[in-house]
Amino acid sequence: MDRREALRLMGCGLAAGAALGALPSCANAAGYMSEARYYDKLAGLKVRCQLCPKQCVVGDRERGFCGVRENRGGKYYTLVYGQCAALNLDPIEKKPLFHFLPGSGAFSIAAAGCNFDCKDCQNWEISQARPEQITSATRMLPNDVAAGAKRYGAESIAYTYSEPVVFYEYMLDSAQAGHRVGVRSVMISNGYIRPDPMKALLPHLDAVKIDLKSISEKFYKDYCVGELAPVLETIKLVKRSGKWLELVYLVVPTLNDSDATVREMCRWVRANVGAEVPLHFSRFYPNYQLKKLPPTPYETMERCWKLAREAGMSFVYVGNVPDTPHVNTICPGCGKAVIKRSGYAILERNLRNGTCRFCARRIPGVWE
Amino acid sequence: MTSRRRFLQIVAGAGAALGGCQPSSPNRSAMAPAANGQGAPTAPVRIPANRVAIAQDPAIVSAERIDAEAVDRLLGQALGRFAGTGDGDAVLRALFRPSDVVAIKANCLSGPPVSSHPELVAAVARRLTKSVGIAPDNILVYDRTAGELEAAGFGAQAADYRVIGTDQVGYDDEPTVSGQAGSCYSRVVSEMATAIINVPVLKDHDLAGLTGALKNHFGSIHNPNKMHTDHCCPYVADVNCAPHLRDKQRLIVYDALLVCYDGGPGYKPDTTLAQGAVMVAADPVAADAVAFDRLEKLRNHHGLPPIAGTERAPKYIEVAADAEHGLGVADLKRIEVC
Repeated sequence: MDRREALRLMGCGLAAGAALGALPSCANAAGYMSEARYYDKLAGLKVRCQLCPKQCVVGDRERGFCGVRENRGGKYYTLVYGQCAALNLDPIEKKPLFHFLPGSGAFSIAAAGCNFDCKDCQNWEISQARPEQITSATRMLPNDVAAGAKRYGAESIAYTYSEPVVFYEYMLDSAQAGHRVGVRSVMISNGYIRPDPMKALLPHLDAVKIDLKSISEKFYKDYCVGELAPVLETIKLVKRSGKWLELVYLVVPTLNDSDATVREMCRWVRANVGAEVPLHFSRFYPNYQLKKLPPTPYETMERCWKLAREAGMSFVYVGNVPDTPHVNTICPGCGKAVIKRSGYAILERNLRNGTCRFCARRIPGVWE
Repeated sequence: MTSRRRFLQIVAGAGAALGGCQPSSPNRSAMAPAANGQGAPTAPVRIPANRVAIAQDPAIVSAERIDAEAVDRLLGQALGRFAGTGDGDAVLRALFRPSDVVAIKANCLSGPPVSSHPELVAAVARRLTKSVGIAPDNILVYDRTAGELEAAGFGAQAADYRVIGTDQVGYDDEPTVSGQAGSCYSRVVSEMATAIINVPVLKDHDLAGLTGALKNHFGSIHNPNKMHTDHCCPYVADVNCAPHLRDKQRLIVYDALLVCYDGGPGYKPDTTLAQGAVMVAADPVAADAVAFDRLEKLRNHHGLPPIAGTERAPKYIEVAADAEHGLGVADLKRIEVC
């Protein structure tokens, strides 16, 4: 398959292996499991998971909060290793990553489960499911993932849709397999992971997008059943690692869209990871358990964009809004568009060796 | 003074009213046809909603086997005590109609021997058929997966009921939000069944303190793993408040044939005792309150510290009884144990 054909396929769901029948080792994944890498054994056949900050203490035959890790006789297992619940060839802009190989394809995979329980989850059929509930899941081992990405001309593998933290082992091994064949890896995550596993993972990643859902602990507790502080630590950790980082802020009407909240979030981002980290405001649609709220008004999205720009953020984008100009990458030096987009499509590229073609200002990102 | 809220009004062939639990299916006519379909009026059965009936004979459980006939007799005794008249079948005829599709929620997570016992479930099913006239095909024994059911002894070829794992029929397409819980419910309870009998197992639970009637319905939802935060409170109560359960559940038959009083919910041979007890109630909160009391007494008898007062105390029982949830009575002083 050439690059053009691959791009044509972008955005088309390759339903869990159905469209990839020719890939090696795609078989029914029922019952597949592998020992988890980050956990402690406790007395009484219990275990304590050390992968995410929840640190679930899990009794024999029970699962952690994520629903995809199970204690069997005092040994902790991931039930989703190699169990691909969703598979698509997406434009990288869909993740969204706007400063990372723009216009390229991302071989996007997911497994069941999440360590949050976001009331507005857009992918809850996968993320809030237990592995056995996704009957369409297909076994696709890390080498198969890498081979699939290569075959479809994708420049990266994206671990996305659900929460890759909970399929950590699968992601790590796939990232290593990808690097062996020259395919990069991007993690699309809530950032709710403990520092040690994240530090072990980062060398094998090339970019990380983190959902910063709010700057309020209460929001994280009430609407995500999670915590803010560990997410902020992960954001700083990724930045310190030198790996490419972009942030998404889902704007939920009445819950995290006040001027004060948006300003506070922008202040934190600028102070801790800098003004040049791309910041995407994404529009909320009612879904899952949060259907009582309306979609975010366009005016609110525009207001958030302005607040972030006023706060000094250099690269601010708006997503899930049709016909917005705020998908273009604007050079902070001369104000001209270095990348013009329409939705996820690249219309014009005015970059030269990572600099603005008009004023030669460096534009941060991974461009090649 | 006896209030409507305090009493379960059971009229032959008619419905039950239990505090915040308002079964929606049966009609409430005092002259409703008898459950045998003959049209003969039957005297009303009047049972306090907060009654929990217990029948016990530890001798019927041995290490090798459980005496199925004895379990059936025990169930008859418990139902008879619950009725107050000794006529347990009248209770079943009052609560169920021949046209009902009855889902029996077994608890099979931990495998035998601390799952709902097939001997007890079969006894319940046979009585539904014999006393009420419900066809075995309309009695659905369910839990999360067919595999777990089979491992617990519920083979697909049972004569007295059908066995259905939710993995065979699926969960609702959309979640039902109830308090802080949002879950897709098993289609067995949301679509197939008109009535539910809950057959929990009396066990200690390392996070929730007790796993019994209320918590058994974590096996009726797609995301129980999301409900264990804060020691399952208020999630247990919230899950049970969803209409699929609140409106359809009519009877609790507590399996205390073997009781795991410490280290549950998994099977722990050293702390699992033959109790040979069956408890019958219509109020799941009262049933759990009594079950927890028995669990604490067992622990005390074996020199273990109480669960009450610790962080894993099953606070969800009281929450289920509060004004917001209204699922029953938690105060032991207000529960009639007979």
